[in-house]
Parts: sequence; C-alpha cells; structure tokens
Amino acid sequence: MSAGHILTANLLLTGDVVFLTPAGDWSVRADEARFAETEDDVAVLKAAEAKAVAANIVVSTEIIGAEKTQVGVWPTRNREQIRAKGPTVHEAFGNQARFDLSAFEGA
Amino acid sequence: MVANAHQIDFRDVEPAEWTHCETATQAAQTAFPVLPADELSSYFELNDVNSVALGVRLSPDTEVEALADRLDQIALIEVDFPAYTDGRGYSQARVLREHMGFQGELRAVGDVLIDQLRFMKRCGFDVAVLADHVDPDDAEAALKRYGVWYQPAADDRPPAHRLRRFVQNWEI
Amino acid sequence: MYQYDNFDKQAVRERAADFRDQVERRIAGKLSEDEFKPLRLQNGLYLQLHAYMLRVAIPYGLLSAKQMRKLAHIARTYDKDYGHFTTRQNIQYNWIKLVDAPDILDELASVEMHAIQTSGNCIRNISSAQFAGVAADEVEDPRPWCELIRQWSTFHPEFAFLPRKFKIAVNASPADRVGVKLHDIGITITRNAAGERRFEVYAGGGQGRTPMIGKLMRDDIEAHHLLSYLEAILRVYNRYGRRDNKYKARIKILVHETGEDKFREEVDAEWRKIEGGPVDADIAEFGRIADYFTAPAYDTEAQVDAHKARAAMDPAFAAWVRHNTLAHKVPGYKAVTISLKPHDGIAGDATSDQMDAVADLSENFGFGEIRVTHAQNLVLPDVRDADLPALYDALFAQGLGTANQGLLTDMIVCPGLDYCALANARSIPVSQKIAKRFDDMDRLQDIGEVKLKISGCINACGHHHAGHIGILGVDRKGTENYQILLGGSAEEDTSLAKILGRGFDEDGTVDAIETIIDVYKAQRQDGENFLATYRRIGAEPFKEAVYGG
Repeated sequence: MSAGHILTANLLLTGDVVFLTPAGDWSVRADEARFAETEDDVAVLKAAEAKAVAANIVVSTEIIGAEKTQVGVWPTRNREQIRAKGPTVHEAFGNQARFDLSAFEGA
Repeated sequence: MVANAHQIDFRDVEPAEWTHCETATQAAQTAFPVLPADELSSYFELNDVNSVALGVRLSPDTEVEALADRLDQIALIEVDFPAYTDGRGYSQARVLREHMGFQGELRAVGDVLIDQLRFMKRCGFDVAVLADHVDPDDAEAALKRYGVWYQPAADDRPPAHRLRRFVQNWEI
Repeated sequence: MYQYDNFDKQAVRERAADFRDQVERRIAGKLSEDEFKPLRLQNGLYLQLHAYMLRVAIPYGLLSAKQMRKLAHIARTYDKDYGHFTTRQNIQYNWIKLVDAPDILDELASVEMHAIQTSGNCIRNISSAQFAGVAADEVEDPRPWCELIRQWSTFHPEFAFLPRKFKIAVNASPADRVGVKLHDIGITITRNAAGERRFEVYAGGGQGRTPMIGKLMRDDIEAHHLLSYLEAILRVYNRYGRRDNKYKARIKILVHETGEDKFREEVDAEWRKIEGGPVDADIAEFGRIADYFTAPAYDTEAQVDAHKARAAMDPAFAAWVRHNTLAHKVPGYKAVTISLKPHDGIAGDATSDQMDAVADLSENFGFGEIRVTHAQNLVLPDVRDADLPALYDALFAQGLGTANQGLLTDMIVCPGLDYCALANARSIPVSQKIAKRFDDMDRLQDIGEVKLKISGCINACGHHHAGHIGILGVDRKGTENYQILLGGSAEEDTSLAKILGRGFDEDGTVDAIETIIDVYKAQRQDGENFLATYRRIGAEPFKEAVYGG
C-alpha cells in the first residue's frame, strides 16, 4: 500500500463527480484515477487541473489524498470516499449503484 | 481615460474628457479631474484651481454624507465596485440620489459585469463602465430582459404595484 | 393563496430566461466559475458533494396541489424520484444537471414557482408559521404580510449583494412557530393596548457558528411603515456589515459589535429619512394581496369530534390524532401534520409518488393547499374531523402515517456529509440509529415532547443550537464525532443550547441520548416536558449520568 494523490472535480455540465485518469480523460470511478506518488506526478495533476478549468470542462477541482492498495486506487478521507461511492444512506444512488465497489468497503 | 472600456449609458450624459488624479494639487491643474474622495478637502483648500468641472471617486467605505457640503460643486461621482460581490456601492448611489439630491453624473466603475447592470440602473447610476472582458452586446441584451420590478428605487420606473392599479387585464 | 397576476408571471419568466442566458454564457466560457457562482446561487443552484443541488422557493411554506404535483414531476424527470423539504420551508433536489436547470425553472414558472434568491448573499425566502390562517391563537393571518415582503425583497436592486445571506421570518401568534429571535430579522404581528396592529421587529438573531438571540428593535411599527423600516435595517446592514470575514458578516455580528442601542439609533436615523416615502406607498398593495387569503368555504356543518369513534377502538389512530393534529379555528376541522420522519427514513425526504399522493389528499381532504414546516414535515391545514380516519389510512398506505410529530424521532436533520459539500460529519445515519433505538410508539409517547436537532457542521442547518437536545457533527482527526448540546429552544422562550461535554462516535451518541432521556424520565415532575426538566435541574445531572461522576 502506498500513499499519494489523485485529482477530482465535478463536470461543469452535469455536476458529476469525476477523477483524472492516466490517459488524461475524466472517469466517474475513483479507482480509475491517475495516481500521483511523487512531486513530479502531482505537478502533472496540477497542469491537467489548470488546463481543464480553463477549458470549462470541470469545476471545483481538488487534489486529494489517496492510497493504492492491491484492489486499486481509493481516496483516503471519509468525505472523498462518500463522493466516490454515493451517499451512505441511499445505496441506490451514486457509483455504488452502478459498479461493484465492494472491494473498497471500509477502505 | 476610458478609451478602451465600453460603457453602458442608462441615461444621456454630457460627455467629458475626465482624467484620474491621485492628488489635490494635480487635480487643480486638470480641466476635468476625478479625485479620490479623501483628497477632496485638500482640493477645496487650494487657491490656484483651474478645473472646469470636478469628479470624485468613491471607495466602498466612503461615507457619502461627508460630501454633502460640496455636492453642488461636484459634476461626476464614480462609485467603485472593487469586486462585483461588494454591494455597498448600490446604497451609496441611492443615498446620494434620494437623501442628498445629487443631480450630477453617477458612474459605476470597477468590476462591473453584466448581471449587475439592472440593479445599477435602478439605484440611480447614469453610466456603467464595463470590465474589460465583458461583451457589450451580451450586456445590452441582458439589460433589456427585465421589465418587472417590485419596489421603488432611485430610477423613475414604476414598480409593479403602481402599474397594477392602472392595468387591470394586462397581457404580455 | 396568492395567485400571480401577469406582472408576477412575467417576472418569473424573465428570471428563467435570464438564468438560461447565464448558463449559456457560462458554458461558452464568457463567465468564469467565480463570476457564475454567485449568479447560480441567487437562483438556488449549488454544487454539492455529488452533483448540483437546486433549491426551489416555497414562499412561507405554502403550496397548491398543482404546485406539489409539479415538484413531484421535477423529482421524477430531473432527479432521482426524491425531493428534500428544508427547515426554511423550501424543497431541494440533490441530483440536478446544470444543463437541465433552465428547463426546470421554466417548468416552475408554469406553476407560479421559482428558485429566486433561495441562496446567495441576498434576502432569502420569507418564512412563516405552518399553521398561518388556521391556528386558533393567531391575531391575524401573517401570509399577506409575507407576500408583501416577498414582493418588496424580490430583485431588490440595492440588496442583491449584501455582506451575507439574510433571512426574514414572520409570526402572528403568541406561540412562536417560526423562531422569531433566531432570524436576521424576525417579525411578530401583535395588537397594542388599543387593539391596533403593530409589528415587533427583532434583528440580529441567528444560528450558524456564532448563535445569537435577536434584539428587539422596535415594537411599535405600524403597517404603513413596515417596508421602510425593513429597508432602513437592510441599508444600514448593507453599508456597515462586515465584509472582511465571511464568518463575521451576518447582521448579528454588526448588531453585536455596534451595540444594540446604537444600532437601533442608526436604523432609526435612516428610517426617518424614508418613512412615509415611496417604499411605504407599497402598502396600497396590501389589500389586493390580502384578498387572496380570504378563508375558504368551510363546511359550516362539519361535525366536531366525528373521528372519536375510530379513535376509541384504534389506539394507533388515536395517537396520531393526538400528536399530528392541531385545533383549528373552525369547529369540526383540524390542521394535520404529515410526518416526513418515518423511523427508517431520511428526515424531510419525500418520493415523487408521496408528493403526488399528498397533492391528491390535499384536494380530497381540504382545499388543495399544503404547507411545508420548518421541522421538515408537511401540513394539510383544513381537514374535517370526519375525514381524519380516511386521511390517516391513506397516509399510512404511503408510509406517511408516523404519529411522531413533536416527539423524539421528529428530528430536524441537515443533509450532512452524505450530500453536503460543507459538512464535517454525516447527520442522517446517527438520526436513523436514534430512531431505531427509540422505535416504540408507547415509549416515545411516554417520553413526550422533545425537540432533537442534528447538524453535520457548525453552520447549523440542522438547528442544533435550538434543540432541546442538539447534536453537532464534527471531524476529529478524520473521524466523525458528535457533540451533544442541551437546553435550546426556537420558540417564544428562545434559548441557545449548551455543549454537555466531550463528543462521541455514532453509537456512543445514541447511548448518550438514551442516558439523557433516562435522566429526564427519572427527574421529571408532573407533566414537565424535557426542556422544562432541564431548565429546572440544570446540566449537572445529565453530565453525571453521561460521563460518570
């Protein structure tokens, strides 16, 4: 397990929670996020952040703490985990209803 | 001084070549100076004044009541909106117009964007100088969009309640 | 209820068209997010944790059946089949797309609704008593006054960019059902010794991170001076309210730092310049507005206590009548509270189907009118006693028959970290665990009236300062932690709750609440509710029981 960072945001048009992927796209799945371990990696996230904001693709960007485990990349903070999954009180809403995220239970 | 900036005229105003001055002495030698409000008392203490007309620039914390004694000698008041979210300038304008009877030109400057123009017009401004990046066509279009107002203010628009008394079956 | 004329209809259509243009300019990149954000907020559109959230205004909590059906339609079409009723009597949708928001505003405009000034640093929705117009104890119907203030405050050109948000509430009975002293401006309509109408105006109250009780500014405002007096307060606030620190920008800080008396003098000085001027001429509008609020055609032969036979043989129904209905000013009628607090649900949430059902019931058992309460429930204001059994059965079938109004599980709960971008802790799960622990109607009835209010951060949307028992969620080193407060009230005996001691995790909180209730039950004297016992015995016995000697 290693600690690092990922870039998250909301899409301007829909408000969807998204994460920057290694390919430079945006995915709704946190476990598909580009994982930045070094300062250089974080600089790449920051550059992508500035570019996407300038292009009016995303808003409310934030580089957040994440961990990389055997099952994949996942945000560290409770708040970000809720964003990644959906509200804990409504299992039918959010990514938890669309994808099998059970590997990240209690992450 | 506003050569590149687009301005929206809510009312017809006499055009003049205003020049911003930082000090009273500088202003005294300028035909159409615009002086910061806190330089005003120095300006009026000078003997050698060659200005044709005087403009004053307010900051949001200027007490407009302090201008009362000199108001009839002021032709232009610029109300500065350093950030468009700072709404003090609207009250300054209404107090100047409605309490103090200021008849000169009232001009909104600073972070003046599109969606504040309709409020500025109603608070008694004659002119709004748009921030550099604002599209004047969008500004004109947005300004025309509103026809209904609910409360009296410093402009001469009748609020809805007054119109209702005259227009029973008003159709749109 | 008030109905739009062509001026009002044009105003909301213009606003919807304007917002469509703003959204288009944002998408085209002509507005930056920083420039757009205050504009979308003034139309109730937030960016929350998972998506955009749209807050729709329900002026003073009053809805027609047709409007409720539209709200259901919006939930079904643009959201996930849910709406959430709020403590300011509005509704919000949690899963809105920016690109849909202009269409939603058009839909709302078609039923005389909007999202104008439901957020942003401007004058917000005017709130009022959920039993306005039907409560036996009110001196008059406050709603026409709310409507007058609503119109005055809508698109007010001077007050669109105040230092901070501004909330006004209007009450018109001795019982305070709006939290008069916990608003930026709270108004109580009264009668003076000569029987003449006067307005008591309080300013500088509020909750949030620095809770304060509002100060009485004047108790002698006459009807034809109401708007000028409000305008004077707002102007002083707009000019002198702090803008250097967002957390000190509410009017309560200005009143506090200026001093109550000096602030009153400043307002009076401003008021003298405008009283009797153009803004007060708007009082001419009052008669036209008041005509919309004349009493409906009540059944003069409505039989009093026609529900008693069912109550005698059905204890659950009897309990529901006891807790969820209020005496009506017309004999043979009751005002019914529909609980949006099922023990396994989310406070204030209603599904599209439930909203439609309530709309139907408001027509079948009333005059097609619905109220939203600040406690996140709904009210059918005009139900005949004879119709109570059928209404109860219909509500029960929809999961809306919980008989807990005013009881421990009728909690006010903010959305918390499950939805809110500002929250530090989740509010809903702890509320659900408490409801589960106390999921026994006999026990709840024995405990009696307790106002439990839960916020997921210090902004206090869940009114924890004003709860008999308040719970405040905080983030303690990355873990959710809950502080317990006791002794608050938002009613005529307004008080601010005080923190009991160190906080707990979720389960510890539920245990502590149970301990606190046990102390109350052991200590209460003849008919005292929780708050009365707390005020008599103080915090110590509760502290001792919760934290040990």
